[in-house]
Amino acid sequence: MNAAVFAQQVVETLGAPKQPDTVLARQMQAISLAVHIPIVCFGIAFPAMFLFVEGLYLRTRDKTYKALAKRWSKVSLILFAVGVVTGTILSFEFGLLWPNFMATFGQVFGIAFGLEGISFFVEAIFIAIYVYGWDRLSDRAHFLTGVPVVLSGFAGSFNVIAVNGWMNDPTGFNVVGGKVVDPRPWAALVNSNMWHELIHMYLAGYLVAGFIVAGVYAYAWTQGRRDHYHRTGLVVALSFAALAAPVQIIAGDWAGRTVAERQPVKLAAFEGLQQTTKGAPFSVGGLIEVPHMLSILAFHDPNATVQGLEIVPPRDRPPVTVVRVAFQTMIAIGTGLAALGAWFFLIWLRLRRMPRWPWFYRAVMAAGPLAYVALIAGWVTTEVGRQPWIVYKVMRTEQAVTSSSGLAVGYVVLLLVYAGLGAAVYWLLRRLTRRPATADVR
Amino acid sequence: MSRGVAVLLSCLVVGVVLNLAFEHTITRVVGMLLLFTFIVLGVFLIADPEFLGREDD
Amino acid sequence: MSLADVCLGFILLGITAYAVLGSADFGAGFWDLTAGGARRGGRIRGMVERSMSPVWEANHVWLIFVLVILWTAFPVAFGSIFSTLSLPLFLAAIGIIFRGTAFALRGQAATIKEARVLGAVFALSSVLVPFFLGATIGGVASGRVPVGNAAGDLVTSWWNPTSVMAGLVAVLTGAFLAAVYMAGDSQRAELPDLVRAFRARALGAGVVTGVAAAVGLIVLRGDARSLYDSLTSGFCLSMVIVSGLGGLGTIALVWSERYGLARVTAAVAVAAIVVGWLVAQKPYILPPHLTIDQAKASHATLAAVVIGVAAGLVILVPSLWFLYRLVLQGRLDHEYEPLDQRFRL
Repeated sequence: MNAAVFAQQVVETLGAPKQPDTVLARQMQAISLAVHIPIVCFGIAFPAMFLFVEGLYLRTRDKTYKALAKRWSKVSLILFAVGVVTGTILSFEFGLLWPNFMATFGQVFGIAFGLEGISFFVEAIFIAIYVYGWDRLSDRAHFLTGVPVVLSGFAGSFNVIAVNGWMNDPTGFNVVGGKVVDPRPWAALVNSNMWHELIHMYLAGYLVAGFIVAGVYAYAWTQGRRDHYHRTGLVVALSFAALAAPVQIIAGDWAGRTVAERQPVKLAAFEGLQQTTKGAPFSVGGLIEVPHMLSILAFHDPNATVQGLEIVPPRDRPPVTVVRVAFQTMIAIGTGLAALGAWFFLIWLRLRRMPRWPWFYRAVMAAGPLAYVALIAGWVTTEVGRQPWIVYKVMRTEQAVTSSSGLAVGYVVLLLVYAGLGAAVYWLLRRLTRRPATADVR
Repeated sequence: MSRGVAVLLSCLVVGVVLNLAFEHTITRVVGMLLLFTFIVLGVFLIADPEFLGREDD
Repeated sequence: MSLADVCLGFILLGITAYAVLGSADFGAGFWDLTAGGARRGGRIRGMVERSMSPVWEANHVWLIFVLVILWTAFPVAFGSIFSTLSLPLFLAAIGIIFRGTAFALRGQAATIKEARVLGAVFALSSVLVPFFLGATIGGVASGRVPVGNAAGDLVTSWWNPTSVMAGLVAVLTGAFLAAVYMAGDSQRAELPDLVRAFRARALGAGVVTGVAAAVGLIVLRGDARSLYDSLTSGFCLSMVIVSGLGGLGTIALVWSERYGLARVTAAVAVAAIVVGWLVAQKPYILPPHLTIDQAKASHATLAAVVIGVAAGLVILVPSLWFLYRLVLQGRLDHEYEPLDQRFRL
């Protein structure tokens, strides 16, 4: 950690905010992210899923697979369009809410968004070709146009997570006299903190998209719709999600250990640990205390010393309750999803069939929304856990916020707009899925 | 146990061990690659046309 | 030419591309709004949807491109603009949400009433967004954005003569471009009645846009004299003239039904005025408070931007060419369907 370099906090480039309404700005940002990130999950995972199904079609020439892949790609396009819109809002919000953050650090991390824009532009182009090119391009050409969509989904998340990783462990610049000097954008971009975040988020994409899609077909299954089409939809989505879930636990362990090393105050907030403790316990659900567990999670050593919140003054500590609840929620759901995944996998492994118990399918239906909750909980954990910093130990969130008035009005307007957007997307998807997919395939 | 499944489970076990028992860049990279291989290979093994084409279970 | 100039060039490219391509999208919304009743308007609206569907997501990325280059290469200018001009930018962002959503949903409307509601939302926001973005540019150009965190006025920074004219011209330009494009699309789709309809609209919009642009110049003279002086001398004046000629040429080509070429002259007209404006502002990025030299990021960052964009263009240009080629060859069109037809039982 570059603690020595940032002995001095940075002074905001545009001058101190006149009437900082940091909490309101944070909430506005949080809501926009909560709307955008699940769509990103589909952008990450859905293309791989529909490309896999198209691959099944190419292998077997069975039209059912083509119908499914076509349907999924059309849904993907709609979601992508919504993602463009919500992503544009985020870009605007960086400037509208955090002009000081952008003015001070734009030259350090800005390039990452340039690269992200490129990958997302590529995704836009090729998903349009893919969806509008069914039956119009040759089979092989069509399949190949799906590949850039998969790759750019990864590249986009790479670049965005690079920035978030940087915010949590800033590098690639120096602070002299309160000013940012000598920015080194490439070093800032590919920083050592980003990798665990990237893998964790990439897998989260498969969990959210996979379980939500699987849940749709699990519902159909419980209603007796178990034909080839629905079975494929269920099994493909479920396979992706069920296998990603246990791997996500491993990625989470990696993330936890990195946070313990680089952001000890954040880790202390996960558990609400006040005093620096050797062999620190972990309280599951805030109720059952498992001895040594926090030390094991953080350092893989039951007797390791875990630093407590006491190592920094109160003004440098994050809101502990929010972080604790979010963290517990995330790992509880994550564990549940891994268990669900293991259930599915083991039944397949030993008995080579689908599970028979109706509660399995109900659990899959619940897994989609729960995966989303875990996703948001995880982001709350890491973002709120980083407070009061927007750039860890270098710039406080309250320094970054806009001085423009009218934030409260903007907040209400934004809420209403998102509510409307959500209702509209739901309506659209219901409309779309009411038509049988096989009608789209001649 | 078919060969595919054997490879699958090996990827999982070795991947997990490399990630949990060690803290080096190389074990992390190899371990994660193995775990991703587990996912991809697993999807191909589970969602194969025979299993998908079954009438009842 | 310095790295900062190159980055400015990127911003110029982005604004021009967005003004040419994106505003055609917005303009399509304008015609949607004014298309008339359900039966008559259905054919127009159907063509609007058909000509936009495959490529509209790609168009709006230019806006994000401009934002990203601005916040990376000229971060202080970015922060100042977004804090002072927070109101029009926020409203533009909201408009973009509404517009994108309404357009995506409209194809799924099952009743005429639903289609009209969605269409109205889509069309209204299609008019408001270019207005607010134009007003933002007007605010910057007329010197109403000081350096600092919301240091300018919340309202008069964008509600002033230059900004209002800039917003109006933006809306009208979009309408003009869209009509030209859709006349061409109708010709390709062999729908002569629509060709006539859009030709008439293009001619009308072209004339009104030209008048508005001229009025705008007069307003600029009173409101932002120094910018007016820069714009009407030397290189910038030649750009203004090119733009005017491009506009007139486009009208003439539309008249003689040469729509392919008309697209080109229309694009040139827009590009010229954007170039003229940016050069007229020199050496300022936030006239008269902040020069480009003062605002620019460090050498390392500017170099990174140039490298990044160059790498991106290497990937994007062939991809975009591929997409547009498929579109123009008609290989990606979905079936043309007047928007009222699908409601017949």
